[in-house]
Amino acid sequence: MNRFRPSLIAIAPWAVTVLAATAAAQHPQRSMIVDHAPDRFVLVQRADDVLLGMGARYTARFHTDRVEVAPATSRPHTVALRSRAAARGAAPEPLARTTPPREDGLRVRYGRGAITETYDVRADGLELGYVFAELPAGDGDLTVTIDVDSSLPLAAVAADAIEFGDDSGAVRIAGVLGIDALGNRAAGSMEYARHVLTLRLPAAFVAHAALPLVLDPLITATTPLGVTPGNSLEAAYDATTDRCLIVWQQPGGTSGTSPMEIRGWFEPGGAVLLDSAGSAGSPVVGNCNARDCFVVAWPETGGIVARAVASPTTLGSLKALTNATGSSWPHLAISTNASPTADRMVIVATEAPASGPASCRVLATRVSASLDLAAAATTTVSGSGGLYTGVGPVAIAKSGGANGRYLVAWSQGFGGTPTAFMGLCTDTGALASTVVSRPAPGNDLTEIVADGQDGQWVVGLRSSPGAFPTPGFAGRLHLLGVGLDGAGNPTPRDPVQITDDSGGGLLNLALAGRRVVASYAVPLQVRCTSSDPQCTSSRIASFTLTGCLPCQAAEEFYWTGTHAALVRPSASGNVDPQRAEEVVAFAVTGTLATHSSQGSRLTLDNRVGLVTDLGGGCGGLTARVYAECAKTGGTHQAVVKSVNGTCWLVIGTDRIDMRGCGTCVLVPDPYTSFVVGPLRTDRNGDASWQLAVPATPGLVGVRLYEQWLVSGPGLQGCASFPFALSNALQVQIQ
Amino acid sequence: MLSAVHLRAVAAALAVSSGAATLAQAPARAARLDTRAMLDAVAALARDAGGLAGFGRDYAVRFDADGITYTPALGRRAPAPQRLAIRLGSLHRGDLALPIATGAEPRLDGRLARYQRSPSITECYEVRADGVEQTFVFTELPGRGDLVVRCQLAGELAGRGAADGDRALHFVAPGLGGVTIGAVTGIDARGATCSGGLRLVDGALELSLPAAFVDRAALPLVLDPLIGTRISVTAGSDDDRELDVAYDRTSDDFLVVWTRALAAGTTELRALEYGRSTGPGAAFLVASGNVIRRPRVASQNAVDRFVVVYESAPTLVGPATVLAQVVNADRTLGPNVAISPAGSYCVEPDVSGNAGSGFADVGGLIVYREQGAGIRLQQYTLNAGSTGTMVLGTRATVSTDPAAQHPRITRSAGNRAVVAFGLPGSVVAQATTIFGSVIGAGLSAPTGGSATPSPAVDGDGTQFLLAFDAELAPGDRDIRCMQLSWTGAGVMLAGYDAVSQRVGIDELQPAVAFLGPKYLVAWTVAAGFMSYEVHAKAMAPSGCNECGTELTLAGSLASEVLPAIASRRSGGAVADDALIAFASHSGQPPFEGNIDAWLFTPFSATLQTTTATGCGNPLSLQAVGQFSIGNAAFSLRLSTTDPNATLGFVSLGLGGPPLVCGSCSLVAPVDLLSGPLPGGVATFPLPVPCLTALLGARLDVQGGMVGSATNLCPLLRTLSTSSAIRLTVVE
Repeated sequence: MNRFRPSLIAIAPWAVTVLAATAAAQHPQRSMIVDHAPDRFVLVQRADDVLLGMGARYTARFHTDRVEVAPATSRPHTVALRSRAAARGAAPEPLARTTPPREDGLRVRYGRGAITETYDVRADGLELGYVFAELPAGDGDLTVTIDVDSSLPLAAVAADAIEFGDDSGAVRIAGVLGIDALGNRAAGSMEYARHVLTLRLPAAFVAHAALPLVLDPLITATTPLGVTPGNSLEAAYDATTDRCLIVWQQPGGTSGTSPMEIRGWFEPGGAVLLDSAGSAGSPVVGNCNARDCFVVAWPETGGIVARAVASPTTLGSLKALTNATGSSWPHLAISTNASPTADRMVIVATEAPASGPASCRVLATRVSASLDLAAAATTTVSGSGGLYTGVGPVAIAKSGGANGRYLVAWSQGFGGTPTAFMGLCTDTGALASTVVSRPAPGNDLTEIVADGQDGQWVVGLRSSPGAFPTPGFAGRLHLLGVGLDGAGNPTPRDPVQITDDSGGGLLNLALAGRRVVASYAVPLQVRCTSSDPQCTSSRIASFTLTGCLPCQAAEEFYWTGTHAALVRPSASGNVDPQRAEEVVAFAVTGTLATHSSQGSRLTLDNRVGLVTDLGGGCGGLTARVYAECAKTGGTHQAVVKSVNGTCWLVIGTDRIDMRGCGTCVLVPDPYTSFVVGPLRTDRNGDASWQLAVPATPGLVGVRLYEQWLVSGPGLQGCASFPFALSNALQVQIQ
Repeated sequence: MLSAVHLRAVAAALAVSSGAATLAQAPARAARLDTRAMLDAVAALARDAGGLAGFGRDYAVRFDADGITYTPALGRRAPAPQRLAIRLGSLHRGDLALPIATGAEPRLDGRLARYQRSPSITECYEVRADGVEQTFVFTELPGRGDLVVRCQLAGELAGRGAADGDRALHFVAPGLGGVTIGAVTGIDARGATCSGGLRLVDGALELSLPAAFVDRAALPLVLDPLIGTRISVTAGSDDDRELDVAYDRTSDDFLVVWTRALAAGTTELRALEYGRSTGPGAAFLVASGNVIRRPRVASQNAVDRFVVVYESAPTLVGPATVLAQVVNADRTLGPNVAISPAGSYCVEPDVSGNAGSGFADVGGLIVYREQGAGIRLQQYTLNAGSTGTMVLGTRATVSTDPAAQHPRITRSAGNRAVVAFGLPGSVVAQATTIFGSVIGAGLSAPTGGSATPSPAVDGDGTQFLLAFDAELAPGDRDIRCMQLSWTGAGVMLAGYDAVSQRVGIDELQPAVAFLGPKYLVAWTVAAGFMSYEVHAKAMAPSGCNECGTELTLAGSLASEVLPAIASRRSGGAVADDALIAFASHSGQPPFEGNIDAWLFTPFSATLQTTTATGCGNPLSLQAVGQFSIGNAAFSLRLSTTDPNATLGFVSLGLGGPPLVCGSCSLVAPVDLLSGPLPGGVATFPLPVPCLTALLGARLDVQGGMVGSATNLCPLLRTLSTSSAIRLTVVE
């Protein structure tokens, strides 16, 4: 018998992690809204006077004299194709010079006299077609010769396929097929020699083919295992149009040493190319509700550029928000602005100059009606010199511009200690509070995220107990609630660890009603080693907003992947009660061999308890009271906020409605209830108490009555009772 | 015989004559027990499944093979139990380690837990009200030098030890309280004493006696510290809360059961006997657990046992189960029995015992509420053997309405019981048999408000009184009463009235007991914020008429709540008195609680004075029983030794001028009772109605007889009279 078994009532901090991991899972309802968005990406678009065709793993540039196919490789490679001649028998006829290519939906055409050269842009590749309205003279095999200029080496040649590629990727041309006007088909073949590719259809088929006849190979691009389109997924939601924009960075540019495109996918709506300049870094996206658009920002050529986009065909112009100073911008975050009238957007970024420590910069811009972005006002919010060292990851409350305030957080060394700094800034980017700090709960601070609004925020941290760098996922994830003190300055509470000691990472937060939803990855040690960052299991769990206690059990939600985006469908300052418990999650999913992405709308278990305010408060107490997460399998939390005094909580299942002290009504029966206290308030003036609610269905419907008694200066219910009363809450377990 | 006409006439006349009743001279009907002293003296130790478990006033203690675990009762403000575990580590005499055996189970010896550490060393703990007294008894002590006992410490308080000089060690959780280990004393066989040492060494407890004393000590030598609970001065810890009480005729004991919180989520269900003639008796532990609530107890007279039922839950919100515990005649406990179905969430149990004394009178009923499912009824039977095994019988459903709450069941009703419960805006009564069958139609009556009332009910099996709190407006609940009659086809409403209806004041938590000639209702009255009083009033056996004035039963703290009543009749006695117990609480958080109790008797002693002497031959008039309202058995007994007396009478007067006849005077009658005097004796029943308007009224009574060989009154030549007596109507 273990005589020192901890009480089931008092929740020790260490138990929080255990509770999160072991409480009975109440899985959120999931409805998939987009599946494999990057893999479905297909687009024909003009950019910089070049006609582009893009699929999931390639970009094709249609020039007048050639077509360049660039696979989504980490290094810039192209395979250029120039159609040279067609022949039927021995005498090739040069193909007529072409006019500039014309797009028709997802088809691009080159007119070559009696032959039309077409490219059907598909997500999985380019389908090249030569359409013969008339056949060349002769009676032999029908051939088309193509000059090939590839920066990729020839990797394989076969009778029906040819591949150029290396370890960074490949372009493959295969599947020569002849189709006549009657639908008759015949397989062809190909030959390659001296940079000339010859496609061939047999004479027997050609001789009897009904015209027009199509010679039709498929050009596909492949990427090696583990190279995934959409590795840097970010997403935002627009409540007005009820759609999401997912953005990601993808190899595919043709310039620079690491060509990158910024791609997007509207759901619903389809693909959009946001940038193809070739040096784009990982993008972030936020919603500007007033303009019903999204603002996407990313580092590029030493600065930060951004553009607003309202639909796949409605884009603002690219705007450099910073000068190209030569700095790098390793970390970037953007908030949403859900105000129906405000057109400002706030971005926070880590600027790492070529020399010297990195700083935290806040950039504020405006979105015009024509979706053009204004020049950004820039504020440096991090400290420098003295005990300060460089800034690491940065964060801004994604949901949170209510009352014109955003919580900005950043990681920065201070006196040799990795520290989370926090401050409030306005939507003009100005710092609006004292900057406060909280030492990291470990020896590093490698991730920082934030969400919340209106005086209630949660900051997520990843910090390792060991020396930096900690391999794999040994960094533990922590949440800390942030409130406001009387002077309007943020006041962080103690961090709560939400992963066990095997660690986690890729933390993301989204506000959802009175809870914050966290997505994160944990090592999947069953299938592979914990040091492999790809080998993870993703989880989604919800926590109470104030105390960051687990409200919804952590659950395994996706196999092996990385959450890249988690966004609340209803936005700050514009909370849609119908959507308060919804978040949208996007993740890279699948196994190592079949990476892809999914986006789902998650309707969380909204059983947070039916809370009824019964009134009864008195004695000068202006505190707000909350009852959070009163559900089976959760940890109910009774909270009183903004109190200056000593608190007692009366919580029980019986009510007595005691009167006789002015306007005070003490609802719970103090003689049969738990009377918990004295509880001292924290620096925010908050006090709270937790109660683990067993995961027993029979508890549904049980009512709790809870009320706070507070003693302190100026707080007195009446002459005979030196306590002020909060309002009483009736909380029905769900 | 006295006719109804006579009764009404006399009562009416008395009522008129009494005017406003005054109780200035009325003897007290309720006597307060010194429960504080009783509870301060409680100490118990018994064997259970985990070893030996005991408690004193402010602590709980457990002994097992690992040693002792001491838990101070710090109340619910303590977020978790604060324990100190002590395990014997070593014994040394100088440098010589004395061989000891650890890991042995303790032996129970009254309130002593004994560990035989070696043939010559006994470690012993006496469970006392104020703490545990630890002693080491040495019958042999080899070697020389200091005697040193070292104990390992564990538990939440182990790391909080602080020395108070050499006198004590305190293990205190800040703001809550903790444990004190008091000074060590050595006592040898001749009574010589010596102060010893007490200190913490590397986290271990070290007790020692100096060599100078030990070397000369006559064996056996005793080393003796006291372990007690240190209570924080800033916050009390008397966290006695919910209670109930029952009576057993054979032992003539009341049994009080109550919950005591050691910490939030750590509760004990304790019990204490109170002998009606012997006072406080044995205390014992009924159950312990996380959250134990709403204990109820009933007597099973035929087998001299009590049945205790209660809610038990792992947390404040549940899921709660209803458990039953049989308390045997020797106060040992039978097996613990789960009453509610597995997996259900059941609360608010109540239990009926059985006042019968026959061989078959071993059944009873348990009623409880199943969350979301209604009111359930579980029949049980007790094994008459020594083990007190409870055998569960039929389980029935009284109501399937998920809104039904607060079920109660009769305790004195014999083979036909009534279950009462509340619904929003109504109160429901349903008859059942002792075998667990729901019988006849139930009765549902509106309360006049929309709130769900809390009822209480008792009766004799045919007539019942149901009291409930009816909310007329927020802050204004009244105590209402319904008289119910069993018609053979169901319960019928036979009377309805208010027990108490203070305007604008909350009155709640009624309790009812059938006393025989009366019912007793107790309830809680809001006297102010954080101030409640327990009031009690006797009610007539029919008609819901009051049959006594309202008593205010003082408690030991600011607020008195949750009254419970045990009538002796419910425990099988042919008696009319009862024990009322309730909880008293302080007026500020954490609202510490105590248990208070009052003994109640329904009739006060007769108040009478002789106002005139008699005349003629000897004639005596005596009041039989108490001249108290509601005493239907009151009578006047006329007796004489005169063999010639043939007719006796009693003149009932209201104080008017006497009638004078010769040397005799006679109470001027407003009514006359008359009858023959066979054998010189006649008894004239004079039932006293349940009319509080009669209280304080005076009735002059004087006996007379005719047929004697006297001639003192010319008008009635054979008249003799008794002394005239003035009776005052009391409660």
